[in-house]
Amino acid sequence: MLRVEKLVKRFRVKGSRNLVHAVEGVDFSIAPGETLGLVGESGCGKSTVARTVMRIYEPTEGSIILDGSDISRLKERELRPLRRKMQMIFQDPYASLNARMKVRDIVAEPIVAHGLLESEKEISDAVLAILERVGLGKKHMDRYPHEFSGGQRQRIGIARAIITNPRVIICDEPISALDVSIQAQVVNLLKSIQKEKGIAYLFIAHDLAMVRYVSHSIGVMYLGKIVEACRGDEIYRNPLHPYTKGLLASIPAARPVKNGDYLKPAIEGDIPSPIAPPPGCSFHTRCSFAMDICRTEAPQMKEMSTGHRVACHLY
Amino acid sequence: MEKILEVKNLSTSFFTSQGEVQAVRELSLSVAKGEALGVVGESGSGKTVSFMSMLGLLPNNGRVKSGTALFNGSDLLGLRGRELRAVRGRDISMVFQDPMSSLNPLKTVGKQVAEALEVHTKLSRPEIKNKTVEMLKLVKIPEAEKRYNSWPHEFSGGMRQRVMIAMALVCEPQLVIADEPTTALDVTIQAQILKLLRELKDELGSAVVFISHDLSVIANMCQRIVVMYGGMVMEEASTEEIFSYPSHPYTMGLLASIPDLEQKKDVLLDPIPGSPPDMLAPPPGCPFAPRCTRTMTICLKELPPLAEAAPGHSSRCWLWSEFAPTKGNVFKEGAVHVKG
Repeated sequence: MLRVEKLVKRFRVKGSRNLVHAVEGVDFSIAPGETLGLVGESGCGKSTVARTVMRIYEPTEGSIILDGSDISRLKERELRPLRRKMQMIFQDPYASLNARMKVRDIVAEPIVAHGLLESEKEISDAVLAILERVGLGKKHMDRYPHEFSGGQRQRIGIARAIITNPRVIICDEPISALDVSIQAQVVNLLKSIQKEKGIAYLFIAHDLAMVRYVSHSIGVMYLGKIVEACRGDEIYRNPLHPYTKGLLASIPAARPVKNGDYLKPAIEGDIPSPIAPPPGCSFHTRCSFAMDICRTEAPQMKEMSTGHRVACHLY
Repeated sequence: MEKILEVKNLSTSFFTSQGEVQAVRELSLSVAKGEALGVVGESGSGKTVSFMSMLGLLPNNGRVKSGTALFNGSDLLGLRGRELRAVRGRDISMVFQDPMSSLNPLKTVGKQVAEALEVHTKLSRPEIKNKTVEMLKLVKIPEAEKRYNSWPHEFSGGMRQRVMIAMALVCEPQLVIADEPTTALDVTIQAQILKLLRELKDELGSAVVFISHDLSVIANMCQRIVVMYGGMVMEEASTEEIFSYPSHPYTMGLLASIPDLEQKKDVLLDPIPGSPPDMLAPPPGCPFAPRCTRTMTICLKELPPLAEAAPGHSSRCWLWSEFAPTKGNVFKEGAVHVKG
């Protein structure tokens, strides 16, 4: 449904010749009705991938193939009719809804913009049907975003995304701004909509447990590259890349600590600047297994078992 | 255990154009010397506001309506400007969530850490500088002497949070209030900061109140947990008890809605239905009743008292109260609650 090949996005730093290497050669594909989870620390480029795939940012290199056609070089006018096939849900339900628009207009906007429905009655019926699907109702249609809680706002954002019947939805941290008790509600809703409509999700998050739960395949990103990818939850059972291992070991368990066995930091230091990424393997500065070759030569992706790929010189 | 902080019946409200928002209602809790107490709750549950009230850091429209907060025997809520400033930063200090916006961008890191020493101690300038560098080393900032003159924007999020912790601990306070100190950080950095906080707490012997929405983070820091909801304490027990024998349906719901790495993928998660209460007009009975799966008739009418569910384990729920009526107490689904 969506295939991304050798995607590169570099930003120029204002007033200098330096480049931010935000995304450096990312490949993935998502099948209809499936979810690809993309995880990594902040600054690893996962949101840039989302925005470049959506063509909010112009890709520097690479191709984005949506439903068989390459959209990476299309002009805005040619792109427009395809946009309804790919929608986005944003992280911040407070900032991503126009505060001066009523819910009915927010949700109707994509169908009006794409001219999918003409008469006011049809539009209104479609909006109501979608609102009911996401657990809201008629009484909410003429209210403004500020009258809703964070969880309800995210439901409005989901309604707006699914009203054009998209084939792909890019979910950029859709639950990380929500309270724990509300996160599960929104994730359940996203899962049941996917089952019903066969939509492909690109699900970006830093909560590894939640990503495991929603994803059919997973990519771990570090400094603009996917360093490990798998089908199912293979990386949780058998992580190969030292970065993936460290990430997993950093998750605090939801249980009391026994015999002073507290969570220990598994990765020391910070993620390096993407303006001057380290040569060789970009993780070598924080890796406890780093060898000489890691400092000079970037590892290539290797398939270790069916669907489980890793870019590390250890393998 | 000797108590360092004892809060009784604290109520704080915000007065807005729409009316009175009852952010904290009749809150009572205590912190023992050297203890790490976890305060967990959703946004809007009153966890931050209660500690801001004690430190006199409420915005202009906020007012403490009642209560006492005894710190080493003297009531913080009765202190005025200068007296409170003498306590704040020296005996009690805070670590905030967002290290990006809590540091002054126009002051070097070293100067900001030194500020508390300049205000609260009579040390000479070189002594202050020495102590500051020592503190920066203690929070594991590499090349502390050099970094003394760095600006906040030159630091990463994790390093800024280390600076915030250095600022909070440089006067060796008896109590540190850490308000979501790791929420803005990545998991890898969170693990580093949690370890640092645990080590410093043991080394300096300070008591810590650790405010968070994340029970797993609190489990890695605290021996005792207070669960807040709708501005009130809903449950209080040791970390062990909260996880093994949660007694309040809200706590149970919170624990059930966290997916762990063993969560079955084809089973839907078990969220708490509905949304948190509107504190402009909190429900008359138990604030959690509208979302609770075990609501009884009485829960919608009357606020349950904080009752003992087990020794050292209290729960604000009619299910545990010896005063709960025995007759006509019907669950939503129609079953009748039988006590004991």
